Amino acid sequence: MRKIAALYSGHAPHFRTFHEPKINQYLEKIIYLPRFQESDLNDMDVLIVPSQLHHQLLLNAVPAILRFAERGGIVVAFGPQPWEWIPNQEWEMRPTNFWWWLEPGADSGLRLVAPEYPLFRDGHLTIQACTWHQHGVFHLKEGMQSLIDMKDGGSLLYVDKVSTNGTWIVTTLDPDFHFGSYFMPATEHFLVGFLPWLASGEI
Amino acid sequence: MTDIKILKLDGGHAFGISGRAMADVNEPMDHVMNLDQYELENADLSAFHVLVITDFIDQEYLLEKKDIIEQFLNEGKIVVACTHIFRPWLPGVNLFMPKMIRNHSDYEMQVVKEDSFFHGVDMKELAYRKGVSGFYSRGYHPLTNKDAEVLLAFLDGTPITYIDRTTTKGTIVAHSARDLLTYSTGENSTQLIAKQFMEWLVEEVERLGGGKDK
Repeated sequence: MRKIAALYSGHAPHFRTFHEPKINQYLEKIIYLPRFQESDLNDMDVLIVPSQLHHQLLLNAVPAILRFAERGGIVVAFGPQPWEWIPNQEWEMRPTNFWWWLEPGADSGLRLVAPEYPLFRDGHLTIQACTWHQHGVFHLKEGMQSLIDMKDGGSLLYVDKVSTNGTWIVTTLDPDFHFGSYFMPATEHFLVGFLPWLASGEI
Repeated sequence: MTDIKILKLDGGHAFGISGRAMADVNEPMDHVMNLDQYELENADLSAFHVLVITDFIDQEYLLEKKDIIEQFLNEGKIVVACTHIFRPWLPGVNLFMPKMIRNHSDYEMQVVKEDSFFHGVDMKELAYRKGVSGFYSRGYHPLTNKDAEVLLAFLDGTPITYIDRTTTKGTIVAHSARDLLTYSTGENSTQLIAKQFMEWLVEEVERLGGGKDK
């Protein structure tokens, strides 16, 4: 199993998400962001950077996160990214449609464009487990691979193995926030599928 | 009317910046000053009557700085917590318990004290948006203080919002739901909460003697 670390903000949604036993058992280390040190990443294989972190503390940690990726580490980034810190990041904020599923001919706008990717091919996630709402999209550079596109352009979930020596798994989805807030059941389906894949799946 | 000063801690997170979903939580408001959460230990709190803690605040940090919060209360001031409290940083508050949900109606609420800042709020409008429930509150802080005054509860009586005036010399508002200063779901009775809560804060500051040590 890969050793997974998660950055922890100390706020209520992250507390619940990272301490829930079925999630916690997959985490080698919970790193409290205000006390983050680069050595915390020694011997880790994966770093989860959740949504809704204190931005200055996140930006302070970015050089160490980039070095971790350059050493071959896997970095997961959840949620909207109004601050540029992910390599070759191009984030576009879009108004959140919380209510798409109540509209006639309900279409979430999600398009699974890489069903052959192991995350989906091997049954860890379905498109339904990725479907609630989004806060925006990413526009990709050459060599990055989108796994889920939005029908009106941009990527909801992508993998980047070209910008650094490591692997970036980046999604605008924010299950860490919603699950931790005790709201939106699909976000739990996402986490219980995603973490076992991170631990031992083909990435 | 007393000119009250409210200090609201800012989590410095993505939802908090302008133009983003839920950014209204940190929009400029009269009487309200936002402060980066980690500046609490350096801030001069003497001018403020009310301290507001919301969902994206680091409670590990609040626990480290709990003496600041307790001292603020014992100066006859008000602390308002609108979050799920999982560390004992607020005097007399039991830690958050999620509500057991078997049906969407388990999220429904009742006003326990009619003469409160929930007066006139339609409980269906608070519980449901477009037929979906659960937006307002998903759990409670079990009561420890028998003198605490419950304002809003789930239908089984577990408290969502209560006021504790006896654990400290000040007033604690423990609220396991959305931000009392900003919450509304649109053109309906939920808009009353923020307005009436601000009026209540003014009255409470006056009742406490304007924030002066008693």
